Order: sequence, then structure tokens, then C-alpha cells
Amino acid sequence: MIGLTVLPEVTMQRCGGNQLQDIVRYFDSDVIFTPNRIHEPFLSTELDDSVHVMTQPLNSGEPIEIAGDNDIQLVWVSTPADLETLIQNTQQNLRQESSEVYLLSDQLAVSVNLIDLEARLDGLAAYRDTLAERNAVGEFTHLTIKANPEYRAEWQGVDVQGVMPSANEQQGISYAGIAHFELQSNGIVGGKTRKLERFGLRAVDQVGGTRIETLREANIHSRQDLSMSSVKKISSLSGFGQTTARTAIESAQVIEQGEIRKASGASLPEGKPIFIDIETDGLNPTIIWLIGVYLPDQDGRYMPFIETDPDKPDVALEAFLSWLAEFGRDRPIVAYNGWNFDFPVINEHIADHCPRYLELWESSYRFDLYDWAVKKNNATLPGLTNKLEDVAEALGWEPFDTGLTGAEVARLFQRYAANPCPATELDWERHKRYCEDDVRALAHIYNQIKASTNRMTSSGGRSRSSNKNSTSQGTLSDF
Amino acid sequence: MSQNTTPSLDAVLNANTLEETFPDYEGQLIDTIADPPRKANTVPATDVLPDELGDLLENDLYSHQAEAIRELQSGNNVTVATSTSSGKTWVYTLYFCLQKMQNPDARALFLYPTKALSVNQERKVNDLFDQLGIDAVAETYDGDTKDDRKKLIRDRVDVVISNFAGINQYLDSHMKWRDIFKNCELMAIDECHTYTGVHGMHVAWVIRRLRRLLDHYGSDPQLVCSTATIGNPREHSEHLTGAEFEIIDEDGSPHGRREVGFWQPPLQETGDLVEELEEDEILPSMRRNSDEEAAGALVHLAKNDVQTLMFTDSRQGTEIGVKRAIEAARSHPDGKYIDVEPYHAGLSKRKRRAVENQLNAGQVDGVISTSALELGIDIGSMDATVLAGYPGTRQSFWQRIGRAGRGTTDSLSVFVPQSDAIDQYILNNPDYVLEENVEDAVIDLSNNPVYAKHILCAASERPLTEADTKWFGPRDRLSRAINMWQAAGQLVGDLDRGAQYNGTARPQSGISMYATTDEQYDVRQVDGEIDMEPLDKERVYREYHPGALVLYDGDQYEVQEVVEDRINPYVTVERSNSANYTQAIHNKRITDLDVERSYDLGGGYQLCAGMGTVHINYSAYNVIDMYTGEIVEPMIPIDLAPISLRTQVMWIAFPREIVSRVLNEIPRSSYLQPEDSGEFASMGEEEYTLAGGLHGGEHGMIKMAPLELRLDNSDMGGLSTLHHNEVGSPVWFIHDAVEGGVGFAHSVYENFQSVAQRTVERIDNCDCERDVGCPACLMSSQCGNQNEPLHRPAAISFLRAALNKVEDATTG
Ligand SMILES: [Zn+2]
Ligand SMILES: [Zn+2]
Repeated sequence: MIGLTVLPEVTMQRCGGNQLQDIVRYFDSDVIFTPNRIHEPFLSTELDDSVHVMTQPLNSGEPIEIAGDNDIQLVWVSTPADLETLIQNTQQNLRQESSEVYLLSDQLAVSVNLIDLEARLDGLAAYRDTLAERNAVGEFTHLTIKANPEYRAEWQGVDVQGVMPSANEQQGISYAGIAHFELQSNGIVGGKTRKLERFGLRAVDQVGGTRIETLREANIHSRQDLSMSSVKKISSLSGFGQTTARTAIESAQVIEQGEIRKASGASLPEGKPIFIDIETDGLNPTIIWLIGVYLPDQDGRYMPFIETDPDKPDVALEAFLSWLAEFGRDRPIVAYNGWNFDFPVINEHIADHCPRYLELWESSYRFDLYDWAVKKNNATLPGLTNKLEDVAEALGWEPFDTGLTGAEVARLFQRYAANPCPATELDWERHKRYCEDDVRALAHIYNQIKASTNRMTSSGGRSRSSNKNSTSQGTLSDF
Repeated sequence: MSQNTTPSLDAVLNANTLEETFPDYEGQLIDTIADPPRKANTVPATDVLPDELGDLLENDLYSHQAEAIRELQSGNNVTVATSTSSGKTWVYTLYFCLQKMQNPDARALFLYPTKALSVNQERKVNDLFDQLGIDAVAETYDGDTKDDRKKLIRDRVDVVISNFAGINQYLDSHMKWRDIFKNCELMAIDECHTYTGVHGMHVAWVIRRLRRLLDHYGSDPQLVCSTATIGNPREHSEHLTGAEFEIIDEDGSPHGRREVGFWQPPLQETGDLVEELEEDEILPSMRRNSDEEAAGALVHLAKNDVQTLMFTDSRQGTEIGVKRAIEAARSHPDGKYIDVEPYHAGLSKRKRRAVENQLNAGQVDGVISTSALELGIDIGSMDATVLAGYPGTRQSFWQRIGRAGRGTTDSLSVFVPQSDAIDQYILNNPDYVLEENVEDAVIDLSNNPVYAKHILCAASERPLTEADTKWFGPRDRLSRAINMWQAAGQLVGDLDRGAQYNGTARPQSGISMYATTDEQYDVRQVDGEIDMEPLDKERVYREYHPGALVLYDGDQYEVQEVVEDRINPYVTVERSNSANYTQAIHNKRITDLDVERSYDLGGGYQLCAGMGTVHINYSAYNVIDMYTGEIVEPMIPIDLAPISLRTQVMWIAFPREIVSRVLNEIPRSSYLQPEDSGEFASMGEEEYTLAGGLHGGEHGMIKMAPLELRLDNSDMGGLSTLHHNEVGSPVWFIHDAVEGGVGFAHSVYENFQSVAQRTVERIDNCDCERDVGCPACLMSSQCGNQNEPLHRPAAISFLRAALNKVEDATTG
């Protein structure tokens, strides 16, 4: 696996050394890529040798290998001629070993023309011709810095994945982001994007642009520095009151020490929870094809309700509901970020496919742990973000790493549904495990919160996430 | 001995009495138009309503109300196009009562263009339910609704009142709305003439998205539109909703005799010099300030017990108007105390509600309002209105005038023109405003950029399938949009399996229903607690820049700081006490041109389309004496970045030689002379005249574009200059007025020849025969330069030169 982290210019301009180190630690980056060479000295100074720094090369007349090992390679290509050279090389090598090759370039740019209702991939013709001549159209995954990291589409057989945050405003909101990809030997690209403000001192509650400056002047450069400062000292700085100082220090402590703080009086539901997580074919899905249910009270039983036929959107759901009706009544149904995704999606699909369960579902006790902790401010969670995986890992959970993300799973299912055949069929067992890992991680967080006796000392203004995430829906895998 | 028997205004309310009673009258009244009285045409309520309802109504129904209810009873959709306060709300409220009597589960959506109107109509609807003993409640659900009411309203309240910006957002969680969506039997779209241009397009697609979900939940409500007088009520309702309508426009409500007096501010006392001038040599600037004159008219009417509503076009204008009125009241010979209040959307809800109530109860003598009171807010009827300036359209002109008149008593409106050229023209040509030529409301459903954005929203609300061609078809267009978004990574799936939204942010948030930015600035007072609605960014830059003196609800404040570097930006103000106000000076630039398509016409003529950045820079402000209108301190710099808009532009560039060609073609005697003071003072007459030609050509094309293309010219802007840095020659630009553009300027580019042809014909044949043109040819109320300079012969010359080149290029 190669961990490729991409920082656009807008992020580089605002990124401090401390944040940069935080980013590399968080993603476990192998390669840092940013287009402008001017940042190379800064990157090299701030990072140690284990990270390969890469900026957009001048056209050197040949492909440039960025990283690679026996079964995976990441190569920069500047021109179709580079591409041709590369194909020749790999086709010779292929006979010896099978290896997955990722191409990174600026050759393919996505644009839409709303007036004529047309989308274009600029540069496709020359690029594809080169592939076609060598019979290599379906061969590689083509990473382009001219499209957003959420972008993935096939253009006449050419599989294109964007990597650059804010590459194209038409494709989403523009912000200082960082994208990270886990390039795997089976061609799966696990992509994540995070905002720059999630890293370094900025990740702390109540600390933004001007306060960072104030703290810096007071010789506080990192979260760790802040976590060990006294409320008295911080509240004496300009722009900090008592409450703000207390909240900021506590937030830094929570992140640094990986522990939970609960609000006084905060309590989790009575009753034995049913933890759930759903897999779909997208954010506004046409099918829920897997509902993972985890029951810690029954010897940690995991039940995947699954239906792999894309034409049967009711089956998995019905199976889950009939089980719920018989065994799950009156028990809290717990999901992470459930009010934003799982609960309304289930609700809508019940109305569409099995309305007789509508009342059962709507009268059930649904509990969104994320909403309760973060939005309702009942607990401060550790981890650089409040995403499920980050919180769980900060609390000692060791993930079963499938390399999948929710978005990737949805994409694979879409591909299968459009053309069900062995070549597109998903590795269902692997997806069950992926889903299982998520519900178990959720239960882990839940139990840790339940067991925690740490109290929030600050009444804590608004939490990190509700402040900073308010405009984005997030992706399937975000929580 | 006979007494001088001048009648008083409260006894005989007309323009003549105004003239006779006005203190120190100086010949201001220069024209009058009159509308004869109209008798009520009524129908017994029990003709269309069951006795148990009809008997509870105190009055008969107006014929148009009865007719509309009859049409609804036969299952049709209805558009009611009758006057303000002719009881349009009653039509759909009464019909809902009938529906409710037949089906206790029936629910309805009443949709209004503003939150203020929603609140106001909620009361009116509930009062009627009470009066008729109908077991139903109406309640408003919008951005101001408290969280703990929301679920209750969605689940239980019979009539949900809201607006389209809200609906655009709520559709995303349609499951929560399913009870009302399932049981919705009536949808009322009030004041639907306000949905035009880009805003109208958005509303039209929101309505289709809404109707699609209503259909999904199994309902197909009847539709009622109400509208002020527009040229095309049927077509407009049908474009807006996608349904068919019966039109009810025979107004059965009565009114008395109505007069509109055209009232020109008198010359300022500047001595012999002015008296020697010929009539056509008098410049508007030599006359008394027209806002002051309007305030004087308001005060005089109010002192005569004539309750008067005055309209002006800015919030500050209402506040300054009140100050001027107080001053005018002091110098008025009648010592009676009068109460004059401001009204505008920036005031707190509490304050606005209080003024509405005072108006209704006749407890206030005069109110100065922005267009906020133009729409159907229930304030009862006024005796008189004063229009300080032409509002830009005949539709709006008459809507404002229609606020005057109680029942069958006579009413009076006074139109006081601004010094702006368009107002001056109307003053001299009152026929221009006569009602027969009221403007059409324009919606362009074929516009793809707006369509495509709503397709994304629809796909996120429910996956799009074949069945949805009913709402978003034809199929070919829908599948092209889906293919485009799919290739762009925003949609996955197809019409067979369902195309769903796949982006990261909610697409509904990407819909900007209004042309302004969505960013709202709070207002904080450093030395007290000001209760004020948040301001949008444009207003902050224009009126709340640091150093600005602003009036708010009668008190004056000085703006201290604009704090922007955060999620919730704000402005701080401090109480102040000066007799001055401030006015920001702006300039407009277009930069960073990016040519996407161009046509070289040869000889240095070039036609281009692409992207550009339009900057409005509020660079300095003048401090002005509130009472005299004199500049106390000129040109204090403002330290705020320009407001910029990256959007689509088209331009035509002329070669430098055009200058001598145009000057040769127009008579020397027609050359324009710039005013000695003012921004053009440094120009020579040749240069000024040429600038007038370019400016005129730009205006003319923007004005004519809607005739050729379906668009509303208020969604476009323009700029002309004799020298542009990036283009390097004389040029005029036409640009879209919304971020990113929606194809208006580009369609002007595509249709340049036909639009230019039409423009030249119109300008050349205009009856005004004036060198500076008129509103029918060159003048526009949207102009940022008070329509100066404009030169008709030079504009014709520029347009002809361009057209010749286009013809050569296309035939040669
Ligand atoms: Zn004219
Ligand atoms: Zn103009």
C-alpha cells in the first residue's frame, strides 16, 4: 500500500509546520504531493526522511516513479509520450510480476458546461489514444490533480480518480483541504478528505486564526503545550476569557490524552443497545443491501442482514425489521451519525418497500451517539476528528483494516448493480466484515463513554464538529 | 360678501385641492391622470358557499371571489389577477374551508414571497377560520420558526404557511413532511408576479420538485395563484407551476375616483440667473431636492387628516424621509402634531408589526416605506400615497398607487420624480405609465444552468427515474443532464435504476434563490442593545461601511467596524447625534476576462463571450446634510475590498477609428455637455457624447434582449467605456448578475445580430426623438449612473457600425 497525501496550494499557503507534522502522523503518509515546487524546502525541513516529498515535476521527457514496491507503483506522467514509455516498460515487466500501477498526472481535467449540459474530460483524446495503441485502456488507475478527490468516473474505459481538493469548484465546495489515498495492490483507492483546520492547534475547540497568533506569542505552539497550560495563564491572554480558556485547554487534553469527558448529568439510554450500520449504493440510495446488527449482550453476536440482488431493495430491510419486531422491541437502536444518514434512509425505504413496519420503526427508540455526544454536547470525544474511525482508534480500538471506505463500497455496489457479473461482483464476505468492524467500533465507543467517569469542567461552548461541519454533509465513511 | 371657499383635503381629496391648499404653492402640479370610480360587483356568498358558511360572512362576495371559488369547485386551478386588497386571500382560504368541511384530514400549503407577508397573512387566515367556525389552524413554518414548534406544525397544523427558499431546503427531509404531503389538497402561491427572472426560474423548479414529491405521497392539490396586474397572468402561472389555469381578472371590488398628480419640485431660489433660463435649459439639479419635496407633500396631506403612505426606494431613504418630514412639519403653517413612522424590512419584527397595526387602526398619520409595503401586507387602506421616484416598472408603480383608496371614497396619489432622467421623462409623458402596457413576468424554463442545479436537488430528494420525465422532461433533456452530472461525478445510477445524488454537500444549499449573497451580518451596538434584522453583504458594503452614519428606527448610529474574518460576521455601531447622513460612491469594473468564444468581425471589431470578474467598489463616501442635501465632507475613503462577482460576460470591442466615424455621423448640435461638477466634468463634449453613445448602445441591447430571448433584464448588468485596460479599445459589456452566470450574456452573444438589429430599430424609431432618449429606448431604472450620459444618435451609429460588420462577416 502507498499512502498518498495531496495538499493543494490554498492549503500549503496556510499550513504551519506543526500542522504538517500532525497531518503526516494522522494519515501515516508515505508521499506528500503539492503542485508548487516553491514549498519543497519547507516540506523537507519539517518532515523527516520517511516521507517522500513530491511537487509537480517539470517535463523531464520520461515518467517519474514516485513510490513503489513489488506489487504497487505510483508514477508521474507529464505527457502522452511519458505514458507511452511507461506502458512499454510495464508491459515488459508484467511478464515477470503482476503489479498495480497508479498514474498521477495533470493531463485529464474535468469540466462541465451547464449551458449545453455537457461534461468534458479535457485531454482525454490524446491520453486515451496512447493507451489504446498499446492495448492498455483498462490497465491503470489514472489519478488526476485536475479533479476533486471525490471524483471517480470511467471515460470510455479509462478509470479516472481525482486527487486535488478544490480542483474544480463546480464539483463541490472550495476550502483548504487535504486529501489522502491508500493506494492498494487490488486497485482499491481508499480516499479521505479532511479540512486543514482539523490539524495542529487549530483542532482545539475555540482556537482559530487570531487566537493561534496570541498563543504563539505566548510561546504555545502545539496542542501538547496548550494541554499542559493553566487556565490562569491562558485566560490572561487577550481574546481569552475564563470559559474559553478552560474549554480550549480541556479540548487539547482530550485530544492529546485520548480520553473522554462527559458533561455532568449526561447519561446513555437505559436498556441493552442494538448497534447498527447500513451499507447502501450511495448517499441517497436506491437500496439498503446490508444492515449490520451487533448485540454485545448476546455474546457479541453480529448479524448481517444482507441481500446482494440489486433488484430486491426490500429483502435485507424486511429481514431486519421482522427480526426487530420479534426480538428488538423497546431496545435502543444505536447508530453513529444516525440522524443524518441511517435513520432517515431506513425510514424512507420502509415507507417505499414495507410500510407495515413504519409504525414499529417510528415508535422505536433510535439513538444517535454522535448527535448525543458532539452536537448535544454531552461528551467530548478524543481523536483529531469526530469521525467514527478516529474516535474509536483514539480510544484504543484496533480496526480490522479492509481499506474500504463507505463511499468506495457504495461505488463498488453501483458498478455491480449496473452490470452484475463475476468481474464486478463484490467480495460479500469482506463487506460483511467491513460493516461488522464499524458496528463493533461503535459499541466500543459507546461502552467507553458509559464507563468513563471523567467530567467536563467547562460547560464547553459548541463542540468542534457542530462548528466546523455545519455546511457539509460528509461522505458515507465520515462517521 | 363671499368667503374664499377652498375645500379642505379631507373633504375633497384630489389634485386640485392639493394645489389649492399647498402652502407656498409654486406650480409643482404639472399633470394629473384620473381613474374614474368603479362600483362594487357583488354576489351573495350563499351563491357559491353552503349556507352554514355563507351566512356567517358579514358581506357579499365580490364577483371575482365568487367566480374563482366556482372554478375551483369545478376542479380547476385558478389565477386571481385583481387589485391589491380585493380579497384574494379569501379566495383560497374560503375554498380550503370547503375542502376541510368535506375532508377533515385535508391540509394545505400557502406560500408567500416574504417572511413578513407570511406572518401577516397567517393572522388573516386564522381570523377567517374563527369567524366561520372552521376547525382549522394556519401556522408559519420558516427560518424563524422555533425548533419545538416544527414537528408539531409539520404533523398537525392544517395550513402550513411558508416560502420557496424554505421549501427548497425542506424537500430534502420530505419524510418528515409526509402527512401534509399526503393530505395536501390545496396549494396557494401568493403574489406570484414576484417570481420572475432568475429568481422565478428557481421557484418554478422548486415547485416542480415539490409537486413531484406530493405526487409521490399520493396527492395532487389544486393550485391557486394570486398576482398583481401583469401582462401575462395565465402564461406566467403555467410556466411557474407546470399546471393549467383559469384566469379571474374581472375585478369586482369597488374603488372611488383616483387621481395621480405629477408633482415637480420647484426651482431652488437661486436668483435671476435661473429665471432667465428657458424651460428646457433647466436641469433637474436646479430644483429642490425631490425627497424633501415628497416629504413636504406627505406632511401636508397628513396635516389635513389624510393618512398617507409614502414609498421610497431605500431603507435609509425611509429613515431620512421621516427626519425631513419632521422638519417639514415644523415649518408647515398648520401647527397640528403629526406622527410619521419608517417601515422597511431591516426593522425588527416587533417594530414592523407595530406600524402595521397603527396603519390598520388609523393611529399614524404617515408612513414612509420601501417596497416592503408594496406586497399584500394587510395594512388596511390609505387615503393617499406619495411616490418619491419611479419604482422602475409600471407594475410596481400601479401596485403602490393601489394602496390608496378606502372602499368607494376618493383617493389621491402624488408622484414626485427624482432628478434621474427616467423620472423626468415620465413626468413629461404621463401616458407612459398607463396601465395597458404593464410588463410581462418572465420565466425561462429552457435555461439549462438553473435546470441542472435543480436536477441535482431532485436526485438527492429521491432517485430520478423514468417517471420523473413528467416533471423534468422531456426525457432527452433529463438524461442529458443526468449524463453530464454523472460524468462530473455528482450523480450515480441512471433513469432505469434510479439516478441518485453523489456529491458531498447538500445540493439544496447550492441554490441561491436571490441574486444577493447569502452571507448575513449581525448588527451589534457597542453602547446598547440594537434590535435589528441581519444585513446582507452588499448592504453592509454600501450602507454600513466604517464611518457610515445610518438612521435606524429614528435613531442615528455611526458604524465603527465591519468584522468579517469569521463564520458569523458582524457590524458594530455606536449611537451618534449629527444632522448628517452618508452616501457611498461606487465604481464598477470588469477584469480578468477569459475569452471562451469569439468572433473576429474584421477591421478591429470583435465580438466575445467568456467569463469576467465584475467588481463593485464602494471606495469613498460623502457626508451629507440631512436637511439641505449639501455635501459637508466629500470623498472620505472606505477601506473595504470590492464586492466581486465571477460571471459570464459578452462584449463588443470597437476599433479606435470608430470615434471619428461616429462623430462624423451625428450632428454637432446634438453634442452633450458634461455638468461642471460631477464625475464626467473632466470630459470634453466629444468624449462625453461618445461615452453617451456607448452607454446608450449597452443600455439599448440590455433593454431589448428580453424581446428576443426569454430573460428578465434585471438579471443582467452592463458597462461601457471608451477605453478598457484589457480590451484596449472602446467597448461595451453585458454580464449576468448572478455568480457563475446562467447564460444570459452568452445568449446575447449568440443572438447578437438579431438583438442589435431590434435595438437599432427601436432606438431609431422611438417617438421621443430626443438626443438623450427616453425609458422606451435608452433609459433604464437599473442604471448606476443616473442614466448619464446617453446619446441616441451616437448609440445608433455604434450599433449600425457593428451590424454592418456582422453582416459583412456572415455574408462575405
Ligand atoms: Zn426614446
Ligand atoms: Zn447605465
